[in-house]
Amino acid sequence: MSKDKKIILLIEDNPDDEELTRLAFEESRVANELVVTRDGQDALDYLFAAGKYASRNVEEKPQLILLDLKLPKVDGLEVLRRIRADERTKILPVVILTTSKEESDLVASYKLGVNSYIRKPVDFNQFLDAMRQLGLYWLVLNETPQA
Amino acid sequence: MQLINKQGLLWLHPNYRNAMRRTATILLLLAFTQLLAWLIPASPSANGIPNYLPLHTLLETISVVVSMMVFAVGWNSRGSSLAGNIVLLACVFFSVGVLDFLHTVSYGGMPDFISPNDVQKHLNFWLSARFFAAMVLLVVTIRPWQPLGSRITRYLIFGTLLIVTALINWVVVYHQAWWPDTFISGEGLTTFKKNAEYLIIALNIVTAVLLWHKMHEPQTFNIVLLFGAVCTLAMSEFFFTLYTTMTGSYNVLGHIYKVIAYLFIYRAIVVETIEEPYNKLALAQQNLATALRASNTGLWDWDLHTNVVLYSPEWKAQLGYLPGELPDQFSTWESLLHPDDLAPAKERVQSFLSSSQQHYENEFRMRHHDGSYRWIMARGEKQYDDNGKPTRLIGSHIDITEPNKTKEKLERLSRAYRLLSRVNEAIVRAQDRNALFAEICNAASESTLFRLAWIGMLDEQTQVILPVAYAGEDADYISKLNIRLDDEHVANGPTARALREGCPVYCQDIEQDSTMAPWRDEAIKRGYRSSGVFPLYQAGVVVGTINVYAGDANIFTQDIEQLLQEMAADVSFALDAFKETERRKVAESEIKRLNIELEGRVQERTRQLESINRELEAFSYSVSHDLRAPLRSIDGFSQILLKKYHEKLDATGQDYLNRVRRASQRMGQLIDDLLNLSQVTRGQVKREQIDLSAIATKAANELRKTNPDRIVQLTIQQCVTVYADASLLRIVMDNLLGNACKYSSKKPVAEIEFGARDIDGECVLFVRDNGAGFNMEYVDKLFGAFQRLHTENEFEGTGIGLATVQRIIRRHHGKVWAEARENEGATFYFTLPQREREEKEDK
Repeated sequence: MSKDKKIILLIEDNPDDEELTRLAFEESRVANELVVTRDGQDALDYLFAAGKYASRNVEEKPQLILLDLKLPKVDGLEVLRRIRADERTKILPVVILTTSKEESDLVASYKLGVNSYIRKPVDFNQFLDAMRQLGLYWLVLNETPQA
Repeated sequence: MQLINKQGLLWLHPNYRNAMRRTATILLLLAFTQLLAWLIPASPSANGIPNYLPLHTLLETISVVVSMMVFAVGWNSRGSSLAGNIVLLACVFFSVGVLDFLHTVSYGGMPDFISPNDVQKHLNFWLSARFFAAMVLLVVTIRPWQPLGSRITRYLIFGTLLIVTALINWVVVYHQAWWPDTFISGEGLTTFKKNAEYLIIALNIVTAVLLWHKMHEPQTFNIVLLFGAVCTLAMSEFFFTLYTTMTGSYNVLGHIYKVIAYLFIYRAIVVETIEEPYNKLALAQQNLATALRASNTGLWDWDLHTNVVLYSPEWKAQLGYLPGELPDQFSTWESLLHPDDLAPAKERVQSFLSSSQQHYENEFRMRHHDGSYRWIMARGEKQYDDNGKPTRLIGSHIDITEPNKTKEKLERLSRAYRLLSRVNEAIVRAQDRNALFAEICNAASESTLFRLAWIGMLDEQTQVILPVAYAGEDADYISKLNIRLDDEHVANGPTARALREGCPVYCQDIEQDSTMAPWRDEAIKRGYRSSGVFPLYQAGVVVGTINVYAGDANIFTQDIEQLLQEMAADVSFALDAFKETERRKVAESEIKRLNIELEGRVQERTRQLESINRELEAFSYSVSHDLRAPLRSIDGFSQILLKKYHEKLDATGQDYLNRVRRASQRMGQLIDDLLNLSQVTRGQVKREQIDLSAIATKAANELRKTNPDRIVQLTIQQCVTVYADASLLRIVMDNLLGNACKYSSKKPVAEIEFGARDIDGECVLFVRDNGAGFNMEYVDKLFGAFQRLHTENEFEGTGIGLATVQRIIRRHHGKVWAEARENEGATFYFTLPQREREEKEDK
């Protein structure tokens, strides 16, 4: 893993949310590269260097994955399951970032080994606050194994 | 003894009064004669009766004959109970007779008897005889009236007396000098003679007194005649103290009196030993005959050697025969025995004869002259010869036909009772009709009242009576029945009649009853003699019959009829009960079928509901997800516009953007509340014992944090525990305390209270505030979703909170209601039923 390239992988189909997330990180001064994939399949291709990402170095792993649950093609939970099922991505921190606060979604996510579950507030100020804390925690405070 | 004393010495036992009257008359007559003879001076001629010798000889001969008659009768009397006294009397009178005879032949003028006859000689014989007679009478009187010790005793007595008599004879004949003088010619009787006579008189008087004394009580012998005899003897002796010449009138009278006294004795002994036993025997025979006639007892006496049997007239009369009819042979008995009883009765006789049993007893039927049979009870006893071999069998016959009939009747009745009881037991136990019918037939046949029992049911369509159950001997009889109501030939039979008429039909004698004609031969062949048919009812209609056949005619007495009818009525009752059970079973299975159908429908509906629910869930999921996302965009970009493009917007533009933001936030809240509401409805209620006070405290603390500048006086009752879902109750408390806080926000000091109160035995929880309250007119709208009693400007809110509270409380089977007054505050009450009640409702 390259120390220089601390990538945050945002898996989000809604361009508004993508923009708001990007703005939030900007406001919070999170300067990491933000890679955005539009659907579950796209995200998996990126992670495992498949499809249009075939040329990508698979060893370049994102430092944090922000995953929406409701996604076209392959849904968020399936993406999470595949991430956890593959040795290469098994230990990557995954934070669910979603509008749903369905109990069943929460339970399923944690069972599949999600690291955190954040419900996107409607109030943008609250959203900013959440993103700021998230960046601070996962990118600065949290330590991950070097392997 | 006292009794006798009181009644006086002259008192006699009533038994002797009549006899004594006769005897006393004779004695008084004799005494009177004696007095006359004594007082009236004897005519000179009386002192020397011419030809006195023949007269004396005649009188003495009579006296000797009577003495010998006494001996003959007394000696020959037999009988185990014959008193020894009679034998003694007889033996002594033999000696007396001998001595009197010697006295007679020794009389002066008679030819010399061995030694020369003289007065002294014949008087010595006389005195001896007199003394003997007086002594024996005294002894006989004193001695208890008992048999002698043994047979030899009588010979000893007789022998001894003969020897004594012979001795006297020898002394008188050969040694007359040894005797004192008794008579001196010319002077008359000597003192010795007189004293001797006086002694004899004294003996007689003592005897008489003793006899009289004995007559106070009944005696076993003829005491009155003996009394007469001794009294007469005493008088006779008295004459012999008076005479001076041997030929005087006193002497004659004395002899006559002596003969009379002997006749008394003879009479006594004849009565005692001959007349009395005969009378007794005759009376006993008469009694026996009466008893035999009265008890209808016939006698028989079977000589085992000759096989001759003597049958008494009663024996023959029992069987309707005259005394002259029926030969006195053993075969007569055999020929009259009932064929069924012949072998067993004869065997019984044989086994009795070969056994050591003494008493014979047997019961059998014998044919009466009129052709009927009589039950006879025979009893008897063996008699043996000297070798101990049975020689005769003697016994009686008693006609026990009538007692037997009564016994049989009672037995039948008791069997009928048992049958009824068994049938009733079967009714209680039986599971279905056929099992009951089989048990009834078994019971009827096993009761031994009936040889066959069957139950027939009428087939309405074919009009045939179908046997459905049977039990008994020769049951193939049923296959010969073929009873049908529409066949004239058999439609008058008892079964068909009972079915048609609905009442029992009895056939007391199948041989005689014409309605049984079609089946008679088959029935008789099987030994059925009478029959009864009892209709069975179901729902008031005759549906079948119970048919029973007995081996004897006329068994259906009124009692038995009544019991059997009762039995049929009980069975009919059971049939109705079976029908009812069947009907109930059908109804039950119908209910079961409907239930299953209903359950199916419920399941179908549930499936439909579940799919609708799933759709709803999917919908709310979309709402939560899809509606919120655009709102976030609206809010987010409005915020960014306000921040980044602040300078480019005037105040109005900024105000509008703020309005956009507020609206989007409010909508976000609305969506969240709606999702809450649906979650509350869908999720499981996990009830447990929880501390509602703690939950209220937590919710209140949360409120304090969000409203730090409010002054709120909060009262929370501690230790209120309820049985409910903790997370749902948290939502309730959040809402109620949140509302209380919100609506009291315009009061300078808000007062909020949570607590529990007992109302009508139910624990009611409440949250009270002193806020804006509301008008009770609109209380109906309070708990509806999106219903608000205040404007958004007054108090913000979505109108979903109380709807959520109500749903939660209802899911706990509780109630929620509110009381309020405008500007005076509101109280929200709710109940949470306890575990038991909830479980009950779940059931």
